[in-house]
Amino acid sequence: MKLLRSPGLNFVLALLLAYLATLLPLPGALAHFKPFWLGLLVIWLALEQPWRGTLGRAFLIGLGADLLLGTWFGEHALRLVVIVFIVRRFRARLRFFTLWQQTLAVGALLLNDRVVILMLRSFESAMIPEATFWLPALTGMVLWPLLVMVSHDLRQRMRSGPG
Amino acid sequence: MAVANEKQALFSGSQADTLRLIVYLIAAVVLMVTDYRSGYLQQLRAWSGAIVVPLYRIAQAPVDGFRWLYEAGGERVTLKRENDALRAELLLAQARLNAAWLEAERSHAASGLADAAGRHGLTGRMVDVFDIDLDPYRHRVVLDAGSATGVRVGQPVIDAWGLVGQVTATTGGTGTVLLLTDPTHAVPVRNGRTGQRAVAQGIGRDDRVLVPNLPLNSDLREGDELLSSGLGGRFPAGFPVAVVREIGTDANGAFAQALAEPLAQLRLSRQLLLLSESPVTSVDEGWPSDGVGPPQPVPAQDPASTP
Repeated sequence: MKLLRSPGLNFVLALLLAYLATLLPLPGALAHFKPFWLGLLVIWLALEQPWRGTLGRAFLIGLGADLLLGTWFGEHALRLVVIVFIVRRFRARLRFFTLWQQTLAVGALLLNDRVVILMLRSFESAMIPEATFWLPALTGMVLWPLLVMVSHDLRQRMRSGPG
Repeated sequence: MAVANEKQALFSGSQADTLRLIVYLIAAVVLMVTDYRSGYLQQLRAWSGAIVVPLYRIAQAPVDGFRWLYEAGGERVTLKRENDALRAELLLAQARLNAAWLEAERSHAASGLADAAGRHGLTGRMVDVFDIDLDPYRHRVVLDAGSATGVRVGQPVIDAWGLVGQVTATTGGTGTVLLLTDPTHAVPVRNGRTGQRAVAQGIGRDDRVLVPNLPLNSDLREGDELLSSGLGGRFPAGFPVAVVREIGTDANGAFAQALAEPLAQLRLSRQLLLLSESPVTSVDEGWPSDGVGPPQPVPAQDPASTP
C-alpha cells in the first residue's frame, strides 16, 4: 500500500487510466455515450489539487491525448486548457457548491466543451452535429458524483490504511 | 510552491491566469495550424510510436479478453450457426468476386486500355486493426502495421465487401486509415449500371455517403451499385463502394444528389486488406498506372530485368 501513498504516482496512474479509458472501445450504441474522461480528470484536479490542475499541465495532458488519438496537435490541449481555466476562475464558488450543484456545473462545463469541439471542427469541414453528439456531456455529468465519491473514499482509505 | 499557488487561486490571480490562458490558446492554435498545413509534426508522431503502441495494446486487452470468453463459452449451437453463416457469406463473396472479375475484364476490354498493369498487378495484404476508439467524429481506424512493415501513405484499403478508405499517416508500427465516410474524404465512383461518373463524399455518418452535383436528368435508381472509377489514380477501378439508397435534389434544386450506403463493414472489420501495386508500377508513386492521366515514363531498368 506504500504505492498508494505517493501522490505523484497516483496522478500518473490516474492519467494513464484516463488515457486508456479514452481508447477503450465501447460496444454498439454505448459508444455514443463515452464521456470525456480527460476532461473529468482535469476538472477534478483543478478543484481538489489546484497546484496540480494548472493550465500548463492541462496543456501537456492534452498534447499527450492528441498524440495518442491522432487528432490535430493542440486540439485536446486547447479543450482542456479552456476547461481548467473556467474551473480555476470559479473554483472558490464551485468548492462550496453542494454535490448536485457541482454536478450541474460540471455538466455545463462539458457542454461548453462540446461547443468548443464544434467550433474547432468547423474550421476543418462543416458538420452538423447529430443529437448523439451531445450525449458525452450528459454521461460525464452523471458520472461526476460517482467519481467524487470514489475519490473521497480512496483518500480516506489512504489516510487510515495500515502501513 | 504549493502554498504560493494555493494563495493565488484563493485570491483568484485571475489576471495572471488570463494571460496564461491566452498564451496557451495561441500555442494550441499555432500547433493545430502547423499540424494541418505542414508535415513537421508528423515526424513527432512517427517517433512517438514506441510509447503509443503499447498503450493501444493495453487498451485492446479487455476487448480481446471478452472476445476470448465469448468464444470459449460460446455454445456449440451458436458456433455452428456462425459457421454456417460464414460459409454462406464465403459463397456469396466468391460469386461476387467472379462477377467483379468479369466486370473488370469487360470494362477493360471496352475501354481498350492497352496497359492496365496497375490493375492486374494488384496484391493485397491482410492487416489487423486495433480495436480502439479514436475520436468517433472523425472516421478513422488504426492498423497494427506501419511503415516498418511496408505500409505507405496513400495505399487503398478494402475489406471483403467493398472499399474502406486509404492510409493517410504511418508511424513505424501503426498506420492510420481514413474511412470513406469521413467528411474530408471523397472517392471518384461510377454507377455500375449506367457508367455515369460521380464523386462520393463522406458526411460523417457511418451508414451514408453523399453523391452530390449530379445532373437532374441523370439515370439513377435506388439500389444502383457505385464502383470506384479509378479516376485520380488513388483507388483502383472496379471495387464496390456503396449502394444508392436515397435520391433527392440539393438545397437549390439545381442538381440531383444521392445518399448511398457504404458496402464495407466500416466499424466492424477486425482485419482489412491493404492493396498495393506490383513493384514495377509502384516505383513512381505519382501516377499509379490506370491508363488515365499523362503517359507514364518508361522505367529504364525494365528491359534489363526482363531477360
